[in-house]
Amino acid sequence: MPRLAALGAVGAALAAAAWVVVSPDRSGLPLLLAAMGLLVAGAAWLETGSGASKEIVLVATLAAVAAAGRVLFAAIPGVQPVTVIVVAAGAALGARAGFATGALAALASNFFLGQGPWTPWQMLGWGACGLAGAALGPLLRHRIPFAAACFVLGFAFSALMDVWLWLSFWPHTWQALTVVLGQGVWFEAAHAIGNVVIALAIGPELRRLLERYARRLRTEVVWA
Amino acid sequence: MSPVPAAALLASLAAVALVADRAWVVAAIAATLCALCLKAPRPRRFLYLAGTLSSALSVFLLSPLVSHTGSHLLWEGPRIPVLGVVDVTSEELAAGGVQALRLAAVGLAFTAYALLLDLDRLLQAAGFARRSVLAVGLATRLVPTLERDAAGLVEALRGRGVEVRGLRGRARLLSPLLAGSLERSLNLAEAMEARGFGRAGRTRAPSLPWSRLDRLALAAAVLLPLAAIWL
Amino acid sequence: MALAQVEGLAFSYPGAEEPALRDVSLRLEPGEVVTLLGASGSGKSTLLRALAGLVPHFHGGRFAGRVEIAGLDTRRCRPAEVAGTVASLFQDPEEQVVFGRVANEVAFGLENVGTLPELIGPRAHAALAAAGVARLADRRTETLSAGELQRVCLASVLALKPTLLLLDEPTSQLDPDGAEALLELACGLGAAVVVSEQRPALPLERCDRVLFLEEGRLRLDEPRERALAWLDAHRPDYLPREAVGLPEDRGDGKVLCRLEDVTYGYGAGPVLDGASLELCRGEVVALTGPNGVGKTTLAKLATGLLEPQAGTVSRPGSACYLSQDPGRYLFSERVDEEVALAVGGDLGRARRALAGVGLAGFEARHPRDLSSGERERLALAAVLVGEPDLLVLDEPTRGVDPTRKAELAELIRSEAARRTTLVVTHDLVFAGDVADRAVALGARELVSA
Repeated sequence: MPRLAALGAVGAALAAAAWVVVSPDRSGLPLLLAAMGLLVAGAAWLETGSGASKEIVLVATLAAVAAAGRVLFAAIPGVQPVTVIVVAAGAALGARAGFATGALAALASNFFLGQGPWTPWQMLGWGACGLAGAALGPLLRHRIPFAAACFVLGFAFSALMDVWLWLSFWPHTWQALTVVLGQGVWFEAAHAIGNVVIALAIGPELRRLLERYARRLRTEVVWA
Repeated sequence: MSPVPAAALLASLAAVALVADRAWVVAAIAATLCALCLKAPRPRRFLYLAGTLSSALSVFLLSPLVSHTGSHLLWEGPRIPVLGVVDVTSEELAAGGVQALRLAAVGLAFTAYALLLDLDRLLQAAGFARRSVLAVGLATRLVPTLERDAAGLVEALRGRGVEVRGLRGRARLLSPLLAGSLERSLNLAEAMEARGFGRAGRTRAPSLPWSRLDRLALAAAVLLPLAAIWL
Repeated sequence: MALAQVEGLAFSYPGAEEPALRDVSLRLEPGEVVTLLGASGSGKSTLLRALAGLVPHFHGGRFAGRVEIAGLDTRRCRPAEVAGTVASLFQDPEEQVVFGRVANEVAFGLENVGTLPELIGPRAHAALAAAGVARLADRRTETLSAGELQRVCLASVLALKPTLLLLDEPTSQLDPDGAEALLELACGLGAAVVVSEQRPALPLERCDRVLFLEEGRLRLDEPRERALAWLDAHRPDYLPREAVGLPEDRGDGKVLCRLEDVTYGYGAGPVLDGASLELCRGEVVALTGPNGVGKTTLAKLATGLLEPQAGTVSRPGSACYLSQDPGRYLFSERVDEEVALAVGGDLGRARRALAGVGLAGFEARHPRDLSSGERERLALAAVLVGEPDLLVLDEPTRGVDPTRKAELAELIRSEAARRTTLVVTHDLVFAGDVADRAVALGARELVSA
């Protein structure tokens, strides 16, 4: 049943994307629907995973740490630890956990910092960061590659937000795109540089912590 | 009000705002949602609204400068590299205004939902995707606890005479915060299992029946898009 | 027909060198109230978890023997299946609560065990009323105090109408009055109760039987009267003692910390209003009073973690503060680095401080691998290493077993001459052992000479 829902949602998202291409003037609604569709697909994918209490609580806790961390850094505009935490989660725990952590972190932190139409996109963006962390896993054991990955992902994340904003509400001229990207350039820089500083400070350490913990999750009973 | 009809109504308002052509429709929706948001008792509402309204304002002010349509020229500015000749026509202003109102309307719809909604009731109402829904509720409920843990960490360091300074200082707190939270999560998972989580045959507490207001909201949610299309 | 039967239970956690339980056998009858005593690490929590089925299914490890509850063999049943019959209440309510609203929290267990939907609401309300917190049903859990939250957890557990109730140090976050009320409630239900407590006075008064675990072995399994006699002969630390009265007059040494007319509030109104206190060199002062009266606030003002909103604090030397629950706040990956944080990385001083608390040889270990007792000693070393003039300890005996409480009192007294020490505590017996004088806070005033 969840697989059916996932396929249906992906189909709906693709249809919405096609609508954007066909009629670009009123692209606000289909883009939002596409994002929602992808999220529903993601949720359905998560439902097919293990239902054990430890896995669910782990993902919720990681998301809560990322969200609480975001609030901790709220005083410094643009800088937040979510990307680093999500990438560490993906690298240590795999794609499912990485995606779930990213999406949940966005949703949970926005309850405290402000929900908006950007929420589905932030969920997808950070979810994708988690997937990237899982994909790049073996490369991310040392500070420099970890920081470099977070730097790139920081810009990609901001670019995703800006492109969505541009396509939905701004005139579809490349001058407008320049303005939108330019408006956010300080935030983007702060985001990317903040990611690098945090990743250099604790990126691989977080990953080691999670790997240690993951070993405790795989319990085995020996009957005597 | 029950979460599902409320969500349906707000979603339908947002959808209509995004596709309607008439400026007054979009403006009316934005105004209604704004009033709804201001009614909310929560002190965070200004923080929530600030992001939406500032984005909307920048759309209104800047998009005329970067589009080149329309014929009623109101102002012609200098030639800026990259952007070309900057001009403002009344059509551009109108289009920019509508887009700004759309952004505001959608943003306010989300904000209204977040401000006025009881997340737990929504979680109760969810019959499918229970694991994801539980994870959302759990994550949200854990954030204040972890914020207190973070404050406790800062205090423990200060209690030993070590000050936490700057970006690197705060970043270094994330590691013990995560380690402590992982320990908490094991205990929480254990407590959940001790209360029967994972057993087959789980039931769901009945949600409150829908009131007249809920049924009205649901009806409005369905009728509004139809009215918009017809108009 | 016995309610629960444990036969030859032996268990080791995964990767542990020593078994947690060795050859434990016991029977529980319906409606019995049993007190479970023992030092930290003796296996009390493990035994309770074995009775709930969490050992071995949740934790993994090596399991021998048999545990049977109401006819269900835990070898074959997962803990979730035993859950309606057996219910557990753990130490920290923050680590038991799943939802943001109290009503949903109580309904969670009922939903899990498959209660008919129309019965869930009434049973949840009845449970909240039985726990004395019916008025909190619509509150958000993050706004509740630790005591209220623990009662909500008790309600969640009561709602399942268990026949066996397992309590693992459920009152460690509560003050003595709150603890007494909770235990009264739990023991008066008619279900069989096994309660493990580090403040044995309360459960020993009303139990039917006493168990004593030491290094995983059951050394005592007797009805109450005989058990009290055994404890008197073999483990007198565990017997309830009368608190020794303490004088209130201050000592004669140099004043190392003076608070005058300080006022502090967190928003709603002043918690401390016009409080004054003087602490002299060489003395240990106990600060007592019920929860919420401002003991921690006063302690933090004395240390300088908070600035008074009115009044003055003068403190000519350095000060260190050891917070409640210090085992949670560990920062480094090595024990010696953890201690050296306060002295800028000086590992030599750190090693000496570790030796002083009895942790010599632990330098290379990871702090989070230590047991709870070892973590507390580590935290103490981390504040003593800087040799502060004022040492403030906030509830240092929470969850600490009686033997180590005595050791802690001795340690504090041995260090007392060099500095002034302020100990915030509910435990009046401990206060009597460790302090020279007591200051009782009540209703926003300081009652002291």
